[in-house]
Amino acid sequence: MERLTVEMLDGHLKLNLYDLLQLEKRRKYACDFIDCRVWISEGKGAFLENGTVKGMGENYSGEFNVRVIAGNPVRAPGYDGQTFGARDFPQLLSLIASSIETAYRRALASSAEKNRRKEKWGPLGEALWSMELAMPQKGQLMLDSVPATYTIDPRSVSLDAITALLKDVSALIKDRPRIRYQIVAASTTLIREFIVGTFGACIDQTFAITEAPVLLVASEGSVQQEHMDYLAHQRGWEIMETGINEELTQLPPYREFARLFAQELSELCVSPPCPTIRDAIVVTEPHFNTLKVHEIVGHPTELDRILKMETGYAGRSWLFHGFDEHMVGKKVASPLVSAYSDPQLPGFGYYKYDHEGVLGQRVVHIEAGVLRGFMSSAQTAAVFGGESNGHWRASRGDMVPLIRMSNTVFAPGDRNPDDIIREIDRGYLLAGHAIPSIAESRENFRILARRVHEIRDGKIGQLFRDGGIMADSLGYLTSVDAVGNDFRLYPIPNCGKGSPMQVKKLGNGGPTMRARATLIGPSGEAA
Amino acid sequence: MRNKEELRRFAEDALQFLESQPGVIAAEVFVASNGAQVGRFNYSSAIPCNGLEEPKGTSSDGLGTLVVFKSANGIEVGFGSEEGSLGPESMARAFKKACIARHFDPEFHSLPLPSGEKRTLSDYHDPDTMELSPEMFCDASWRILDGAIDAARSSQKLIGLFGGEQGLKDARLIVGGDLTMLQERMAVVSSVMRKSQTDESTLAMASLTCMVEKLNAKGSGYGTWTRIADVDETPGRVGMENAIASIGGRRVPSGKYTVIFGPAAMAEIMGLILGSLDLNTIYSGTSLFNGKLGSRVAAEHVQLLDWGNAPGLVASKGITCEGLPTGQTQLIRDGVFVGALANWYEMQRMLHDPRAQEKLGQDPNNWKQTLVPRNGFRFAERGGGRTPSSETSSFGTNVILTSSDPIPLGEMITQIGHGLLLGRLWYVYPMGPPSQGDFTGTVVADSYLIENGRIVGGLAINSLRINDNLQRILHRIQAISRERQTPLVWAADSVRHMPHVLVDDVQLEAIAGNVMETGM
Repeated sequence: MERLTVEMLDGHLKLNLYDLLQLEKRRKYACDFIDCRVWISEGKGAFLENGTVKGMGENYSGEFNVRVIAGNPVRAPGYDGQTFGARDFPQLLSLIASSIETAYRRALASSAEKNRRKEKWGPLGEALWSMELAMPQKGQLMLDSVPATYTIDPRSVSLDAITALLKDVSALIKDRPRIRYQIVAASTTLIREFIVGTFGACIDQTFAITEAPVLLVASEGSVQQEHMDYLAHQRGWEIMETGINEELTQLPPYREFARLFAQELSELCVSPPCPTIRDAIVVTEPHFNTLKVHEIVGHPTELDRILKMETGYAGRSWLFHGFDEHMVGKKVASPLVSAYSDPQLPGFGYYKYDHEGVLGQRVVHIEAGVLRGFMSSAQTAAVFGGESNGHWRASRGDMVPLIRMSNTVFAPGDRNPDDIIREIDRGYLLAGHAIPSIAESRENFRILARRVHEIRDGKIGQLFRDGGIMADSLGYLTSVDAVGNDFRLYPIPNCGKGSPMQVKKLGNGGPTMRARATLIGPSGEAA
Repeated sequence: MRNKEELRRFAEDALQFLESQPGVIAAEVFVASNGAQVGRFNYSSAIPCNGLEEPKGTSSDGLGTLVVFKSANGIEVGFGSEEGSLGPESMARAFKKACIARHFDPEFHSLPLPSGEKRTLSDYHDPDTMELSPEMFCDASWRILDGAIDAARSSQKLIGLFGGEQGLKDARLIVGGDLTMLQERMAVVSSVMRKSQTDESTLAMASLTCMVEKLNAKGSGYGTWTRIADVDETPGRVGMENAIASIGGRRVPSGKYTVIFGPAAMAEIMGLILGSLDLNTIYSGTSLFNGKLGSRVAAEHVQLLDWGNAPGLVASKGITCEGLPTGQTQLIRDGVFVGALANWYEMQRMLHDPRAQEKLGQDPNNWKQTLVPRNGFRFAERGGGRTPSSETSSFGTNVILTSSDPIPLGEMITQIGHGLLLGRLWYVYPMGPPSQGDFTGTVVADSYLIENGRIVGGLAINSLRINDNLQRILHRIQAISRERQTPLVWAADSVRHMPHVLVDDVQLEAIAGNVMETGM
């Protein structure tokens, strides 16, 4: 075997794996369910620091993860994940069988301990349940194959072409004033995954992912600016040359993307620091709202947080204290605000099936200001009620999935964004997102913008650096008094969640919005 | 997992293979076998749950090689790796990738050379952890959960508040967090350090967050162990006891406060400080400490040390992933910035950088004793493990904050009269260029009000946001406690052994009033 390729998953492997899982389930005592994901990726890329190649290469990887639910009388889950190389591929099914045994032992051992605690913990043991899954499919075989979308196959691009483009872009940036340090990088990858489970899932889907970050440091005197942005999409290498020109996502080719970014940082270095003003009128444009919807709508509507499963790490949600104390069906935002997650939007978070083989469905989180629903998995849906809407995803093939955003967005309104600004006597426009800091239950946030502009008499004026907004989520969302018709969807390449942390690629976006918040500049001290 | 002799032999064979290839003038081979077992906790008394939510594990073998080629254009380097089981084909595949990746890097000066320091830590791992069975791991995980539940059931305060043990379900008790056990074996050999070296390390860490959610009270518990036999219920018990202790938390208005940062809060802030003490950050000109080597950056009594070979500490290793001995690197001594976290590549390029004096504030050639490559590791995304598919970067190990004049915590509390003890912060991030030092985060647990020199009650969780500046915090450290703890920070690569730290004039903002008032 020369190397791992995505084509190695052609043929009978998927059905053989399905048969293996069914056989292992039948053979094992008190085994209720088994599923497995197999993942092969092939990619290439390079990165340059200050114009010098610091790394480049072609690589491939193989990973799989197994889940077993077993135990008597209470069921418990067990998991196991492994990497595999080209040398291992001929024995892949026996490796998976061995991993099933390990996961099964974990499930049985945990089930036995859980049984004991149901007695030992008295009334507090009653909450320990016999694990269930609320899968839409009920045992019937569901075969599907989903191809990747690309014009230029990631594997067909030469490393010379990648480094040539990066050198060209790096030289372009170097010529911009005040740029002191730069990293440009690009990678293009094909990922193919099998999702096979004893409930019937037998899914084969492939993704093309091309992403190209730009990290720049600019300075003038003692003022420094450091920002990073990404050109990224679920497409092939073509986005690097032509940019993204789709209905929902429009980004320029990488050269132009990087040049504009460098120009922006250069201008920021000679701009004054943002003032701090309480209860300011703030207009936030789609790129800023990309991070805002991610943090204050997306994360708090993940059903694992709602059910307290992330209390130790990612946090809980202010939207749900308990089954008798929650905001579902209640007003959480202005009637102008709607928000949803949709895996099938053509964004960076696109997928047809999640990692349980459940069809990814649109979930409305906020409808005209009223909280409606949450992203779910089969396990969380079984606890909460209903069936999974397909949001259980892992960032690697050997990791255990958890509930992740797909494409989570604020819905567009009907206002012309120019009019939204024109109506303001004094306010601020925040554009481009930088860094977020969110309270544990997502009830308060501070998000740094790349640029803040003063708005005076309906016109955009002075540019400020190092500014952002700070607000309570409820107060902010209910203060929204205008929503634009300029909806945009952007890539978010680095959402962290889980333990060990999984860095996930997804899509977020929205239109221009106007609301009230504390405009906050450096040092955080009120003016 | 492969044993270390297998890894050693494979590394030596791979080096021999690589050196026999045309054009190759030197190579470094890193081979590893890693395992991780993680149990995520999820107990909620009011929601159906598994208790031990995710007993899971990952395992991987592989090799990574940095190959030095001679070409018509001079020296070129290329990195290649191959994951999966190890065999002769793996060497050939990794070499092929290194050939594809070869490029000219003017800042590459050599493969790591002996630093002159001697390895002090060998055979320090726990054989039982290395052979950990699924059953042993589940047993240890449930033991920690027992600690939390037993603490709740034995709390007269809690039972009193909820009308007996049956009522505890209505307290909406929550136990979250995880137990992580890492098993790491590696071998490294190179053309310039021909004696192959191996290392074996194991560690166990638990981080617990417990809540009495009905009363909006939260507490944390932590555990770090080098032997599985030592894993006990303490993190769960302490986490739940801390949650119960913070019941009845009050809100305070926005303003400047005298603050005692607890060890977990300080560990979060330390993450931002460590980011600026990495030689790569200093090279890029984005460090808080650029141009300040040899200058005062903190209060005079502040000492900060990275101690990679500390006997018995959880993040200790015998050698780095470059095959160099770990050791003590003083980062801040008597408030002065004196050293940085470095791997071989970063140290070499700083020594040869014509702008080094500007970036560091000193000629690095005069500071070679404190810029030593003791921190070149291959920690990667998956949370620990010495990953063959990664090239080395600089990572902290055991990071220890102390004072030349520490005081007992009790004395610190008495000393400040009125103030706040902030035990744990959340989402601590820079707000602006990291070199500027502005940062923010929210107060999330384990926090208390201090009045008249004593703790008088809990502080409401998620009710304060800190908006301050790292440079100001470092210079305003008034006192550091004698006692230290080892809290764990999510996704952190280093383990931070932190004391309580007294700082005055900390800017805090009252937040989320509406949410609290509506009960949501």
